[in-house]
Amino acid sequence: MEKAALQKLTVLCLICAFAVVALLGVTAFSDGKREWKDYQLQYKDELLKKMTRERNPAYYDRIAGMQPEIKQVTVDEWKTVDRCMSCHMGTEDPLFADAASPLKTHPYPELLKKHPVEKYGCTICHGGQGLATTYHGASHKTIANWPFPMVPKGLMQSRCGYCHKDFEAIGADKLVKGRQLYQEMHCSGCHQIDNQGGAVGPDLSNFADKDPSNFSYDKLDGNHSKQVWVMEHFKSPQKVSPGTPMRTYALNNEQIECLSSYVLSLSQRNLQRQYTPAVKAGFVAPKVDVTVPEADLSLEDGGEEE
Amino acid sequence: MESGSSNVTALPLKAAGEAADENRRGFVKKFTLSALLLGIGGSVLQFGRFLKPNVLYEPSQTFKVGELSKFPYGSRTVIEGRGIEIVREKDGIHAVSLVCTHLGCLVKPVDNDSEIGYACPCHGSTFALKGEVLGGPAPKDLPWYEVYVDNSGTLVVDTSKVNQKRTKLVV
Repeated sequence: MEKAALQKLTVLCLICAFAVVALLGVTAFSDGKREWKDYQLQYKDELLKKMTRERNPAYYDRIAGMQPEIKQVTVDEWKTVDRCMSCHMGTEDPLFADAASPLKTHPYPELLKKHPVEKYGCTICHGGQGLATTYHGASHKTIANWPFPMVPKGLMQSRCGYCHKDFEAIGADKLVKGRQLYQEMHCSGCHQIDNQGGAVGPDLSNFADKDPSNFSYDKLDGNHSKQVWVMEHFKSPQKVSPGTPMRTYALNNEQIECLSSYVLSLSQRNLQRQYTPAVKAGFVAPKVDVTVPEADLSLEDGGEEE
Repeated sequence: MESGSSNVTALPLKAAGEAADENRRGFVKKFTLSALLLGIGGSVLQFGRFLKPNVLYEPSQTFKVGELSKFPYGSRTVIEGRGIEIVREKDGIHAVSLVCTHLGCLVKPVDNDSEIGYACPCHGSTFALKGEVLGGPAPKDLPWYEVYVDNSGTLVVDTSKVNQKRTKLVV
């Protein structure tokens, strides 16, 4: 009886030992296997095919001897560490204009030239989790309640407005249109931006800097993110935040996108001089509060009487 | 006799069984021990990896210094904040470190001098145009770093790799 029990224990011990060894092997294997490594090897292969050694031997030899490693850009100014280029290796390389997705050249090379990746990183414009080294972790698709999801295409201009306050100068049509709508619809009757406007609704001066965790997402149809919250709130304020005095305005999708871009661009961050875009001399941001003050009734009455 | 024979036959049988038991125990012992060693060894290796991080929170040591056209022939351009100077001559281009090999002060490029190329303001070390020590307490020549031009025509310097042979990049 005792012997049988001992034997059972021995077998159990053996099985456990096998399992531990197998698990260790799996861990070691999966730890070394990362998606960015595959992309870097793919980049290396494609790049070597696209160029010849004769034309640029120093660069060719360097690429040929390239080992997969995490690439990153650290930007002290906004305290980010962006590792996007660990997969997106061809963003600045004109040879990759028609390559497949992660290696593709940036669609707007002129824009990238003015904002070199080494100085600005990626997430200041695109949002997302810069430290992540996986597709999912970087929040390419919105992750529910994630503080900084990637900015969808339609709202990209909202990030331009973080630094550029002269929307016309940079050709940010959506921001210009959004601000126009804000003026035309007299949003400043209730909301304040930079001390202009009423105090019925919340102050929007630093709307972009507001903590996304303070918004309630339980009434949203789409993904739980601040961007979706803004869009759906413009569609139907009553639904997204019940009990709000804000009424529903008739807006089409494009107008909603413009207004959302504008509101999401309202940041009050102060940037160092080297990160502050130059504006033309004498630039003053247009007034958002265009309400004409009511004429003095007593005076008008007096005038009529005369 | 029968019982004796049975005794005789029984004894070796028992002994064989014991030997097999002994064998099995030995195998199990060895196997468990090796599994244990593998496990501990693996964990130690994995912990050891923490000592050598994949990346550090610091600016990349490979960086772009600008398009090639920014560096005309015969120019010496100090790259601010990086402690290097890009020197372009007719026969090529190279990047030389401006960190004094003595105590790490930033040496100052000397213009219009046929011999002295760099002088250290701290302890007076002087270096030749190509970075060789001429005088002062500096023990070593100023190192050259590897440079290359990428596909968009931008000059890139890699300060993690010293150009030991001091070869100029021909462009």
